Amino acid sequence: MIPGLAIFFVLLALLCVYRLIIGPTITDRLIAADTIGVFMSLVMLFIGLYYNIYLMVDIVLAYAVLFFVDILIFSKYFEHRELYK
Amino acid sequence: MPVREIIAYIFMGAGAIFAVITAVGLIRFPDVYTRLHAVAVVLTISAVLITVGIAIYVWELYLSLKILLISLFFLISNPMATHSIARASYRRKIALPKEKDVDDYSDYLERGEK
Repeated sequence: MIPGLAIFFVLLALLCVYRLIIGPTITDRLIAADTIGVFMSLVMLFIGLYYNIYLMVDIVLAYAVLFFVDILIFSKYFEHRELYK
Repeated sequence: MPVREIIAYIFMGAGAIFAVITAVGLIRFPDVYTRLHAVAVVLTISAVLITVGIAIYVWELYLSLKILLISLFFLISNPMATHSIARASYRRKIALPKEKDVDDYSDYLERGEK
């Protein structure tokens, strides 16, 4: 059940890669990247649960903080874009 | 299979269903803001349900508390990120909604700039 859920979330993230590639504007690409980040952190939790790697929880916490700050910096950059010319 | 694992699998299955709704909405919705709606609302509850299910499945005190901390962080961070993306996208006119019946935010912006 647990590795099945992990494979299922990898397939859902591959579905989101479609929107990441064809997205007409930058907003579509940002929200697709956000979705892929959340799905990949859940996949990392499942992998740590299946192989009994307890350290994976800390890695997932750091990864979630990092991609949240990443998305926030990207959106602030596209909002105040004329400051960086 | 004990009752605790059955409850955990129910949580994980509900989260997986919401994740399917997120992916299908991200691909099939016609507009930028409807896609943002799908990601902001449904992805948050999906991640929270999956992490609560894992915390019930593990059932050790400090490990479960750490996984619940991840759940709380998703509950805070994902609406903040999508709100910031939507704000940048609307204010810089990267993508505007196709058909708008009610648009209070543009009126607010015009009043603020004058």
